Amino acid sequence: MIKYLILIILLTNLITADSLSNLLEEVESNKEKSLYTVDEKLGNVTVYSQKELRLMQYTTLSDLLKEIPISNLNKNKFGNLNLSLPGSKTDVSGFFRVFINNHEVSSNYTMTPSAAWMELPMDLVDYVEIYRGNSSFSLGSESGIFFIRVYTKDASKENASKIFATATDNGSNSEAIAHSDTLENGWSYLAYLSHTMSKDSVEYEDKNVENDANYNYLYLNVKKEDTDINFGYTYMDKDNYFGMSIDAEPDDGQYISQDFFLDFTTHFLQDDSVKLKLSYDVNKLKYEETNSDNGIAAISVINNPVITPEKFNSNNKVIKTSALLSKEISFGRNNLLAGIDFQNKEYDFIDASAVFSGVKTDYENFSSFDSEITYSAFLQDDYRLFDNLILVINAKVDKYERNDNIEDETNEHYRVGAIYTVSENLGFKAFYTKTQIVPSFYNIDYKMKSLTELKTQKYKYYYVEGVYAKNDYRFSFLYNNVEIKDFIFYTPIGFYNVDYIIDVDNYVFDLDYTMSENHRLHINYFTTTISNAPINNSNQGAYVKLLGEFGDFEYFISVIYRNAYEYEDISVDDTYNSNLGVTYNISKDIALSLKAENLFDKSTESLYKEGDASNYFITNIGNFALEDLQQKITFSTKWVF
Amino acid sequence: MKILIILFTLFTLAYSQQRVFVLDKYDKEIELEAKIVSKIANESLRENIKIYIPNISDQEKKIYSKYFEVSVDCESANFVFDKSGLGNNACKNLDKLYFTNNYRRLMSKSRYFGAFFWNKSRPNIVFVKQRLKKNGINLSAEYNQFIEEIDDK
Repeated sequence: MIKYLILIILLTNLITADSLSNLLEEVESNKEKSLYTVDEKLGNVTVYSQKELRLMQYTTLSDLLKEIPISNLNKNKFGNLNLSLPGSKTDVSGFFRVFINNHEVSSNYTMTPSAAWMELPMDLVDYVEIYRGNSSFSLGSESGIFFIRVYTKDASKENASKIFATATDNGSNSEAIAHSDTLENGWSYLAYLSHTMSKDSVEYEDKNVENDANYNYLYLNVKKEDTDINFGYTYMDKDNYFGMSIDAEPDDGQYISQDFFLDFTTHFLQDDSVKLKLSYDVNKLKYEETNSDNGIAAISVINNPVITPEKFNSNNKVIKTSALLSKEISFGRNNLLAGIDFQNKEYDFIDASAVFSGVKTDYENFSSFDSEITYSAFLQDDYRLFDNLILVINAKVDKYERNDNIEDETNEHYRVGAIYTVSENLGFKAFYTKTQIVPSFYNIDYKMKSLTELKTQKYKYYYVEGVYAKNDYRFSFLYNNVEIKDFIFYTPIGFYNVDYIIDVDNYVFDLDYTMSENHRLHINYFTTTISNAPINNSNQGAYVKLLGEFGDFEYFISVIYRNAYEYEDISVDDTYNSNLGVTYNISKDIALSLKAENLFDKSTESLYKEGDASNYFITNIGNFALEDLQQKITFSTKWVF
Repeated sequence: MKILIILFTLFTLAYSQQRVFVLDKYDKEIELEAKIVSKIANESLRENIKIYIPNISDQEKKIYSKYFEVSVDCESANFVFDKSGLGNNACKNLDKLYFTNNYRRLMSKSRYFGAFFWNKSRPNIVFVKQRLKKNGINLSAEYNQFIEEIDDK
């Protein structure tokens, strides 16, 4: 009886496996895995597939990034969510970099992921890859350590119009429309337009500190086979939250940013082995703040710490033009990639002023450093020593030409590594990288007044990764060590290079269990130790995610943990950010979703500082911690037509 | 209990999908596309297929060769899968079957008897009833759900 049953099951499987309907289902499920662009040679990689993004109901990019290991998502003094290294809340220019369809959208002023793109609605996003490793070796872009690569929906696989709408119980809402089509000549296009009105505030010392914001996005992608054209525009205006006010109580303030880019990428030759990429970026940032009681810590205009302005505004623009040409060559067991890259950044200081005791002063600049040209050449070779062992060697040279007294410099970057697949169930990767990150315009504008220069940060980075995967389980272990010399550290009186080497050890454990075709459990834990630097942020974290679908319903449950920490006289407890959501697919084209975030009001907390002009700049008192994320319930709907 | 264990094992084998690394260029999409086109071509023509795909890439050629004899020109092929658009004169008035991946092309050019394309984020297949008849193609019942009547003007 048992034998017959098994035979029937196997025969049924064989007969139906290759039916046209089944093949179409397989095509759809293959698309949802989002493995088209993954490149294991760039470092440790985590893929957030289309299916995971859908089931987990991530609403924005920052909503996704809050859970990733070896980083924390914190709210800065301007109320923007940004990524920090575990154990530290300091700004880390150039460390984290965000790309959309292979175009970098990090701010060219600060070299950190721009506030507006961090809030990019996930309606536009197809999948996300997160690389821990310097992928500039293969892509010719600027150096960094942590690369977040976002890919928008593929117009040729969409061919639909979509309307998205969300509303939360705290009064926030967003609306978006997307349209994509494939024309008869093979060109396809995707147009996306969205507006979000975000309501956010925090209670501090019986005051309600507002952090309301408006985010607007326009995105256009046009492509055909070898050619990909991307246009992106964001406009964000928001309250300035605590701003730079010394008493953490600004009278008024506004933060407005506009980002624009146009990127053209095309490939030549039958095998698409020659790539040409041209791009143009504009980042505009306008800031205004008034604080008549205790002044504003706008260190770029302060000469005497006890004399601070009651009003400050700045308005600047950075324009970047870049071009890249690369060629891939395969011969024998080698895959060689060689390329050259050119970047020109022009910093336009539009205007700035400060009011001291009723007297207004206008500024022509904060620093005369306003131009940077970079010439790069890079080479990558992966050599398949054996069928199961690949050796990877990278080299890159960046030559910087800058104006003012910022010295020109030439930086050399190297990387060697190996990928060893012991069996179909077991594999290892190990890489060693030596790289540098140059100071940004922002670092120089806000450096300590006493310094004549900021040095380039030097990174040495190595990691070992082991993966065991069998049937439905995938277990991975990652160890990495980051050694940073001349780390650029932010203090209340500006940026400076620390005079000691920072040594960071990270350990990540990850278990991914596919319980059945439609249900998945994912557990992750990381811990970080930092030598020579005070801990002022969580240095351990974990998450547990359960996600799946049954019938017309989809669900997820997640708990994101960050450990307790103490800094000076502040103690922050363990935090457990718990979330759950459910989606009901009324039909193939209409879905309703409900999501509860931060269920127990236990979000991570970030440090801020207050005081008065006499102590703010010279002592480490007046620190306080506040929650990064609110408790909220979001209702959303999607209509495809 | 035995049955449960066997069923669980079969279920697990059917859905196991974890992998260590993705080292080679991910070509499952082309593999599935080739499988679908192969199934349709064999069902439509019922003879040895010689396929022509304009502007075929090296990766596609490698995969399609597992299912077909891949022709370097249109003249010697008996089945054309038009993914990137045929030139104005290429293949004109030649007696062979034309299939495409572009719905608009299917709608506007009567030479195509069907298309495999994406609509509303989902993969679709459509065969045009009149054009099947015109080309003398008899598809089995499994294909009925994909056949549509389109008015050729």
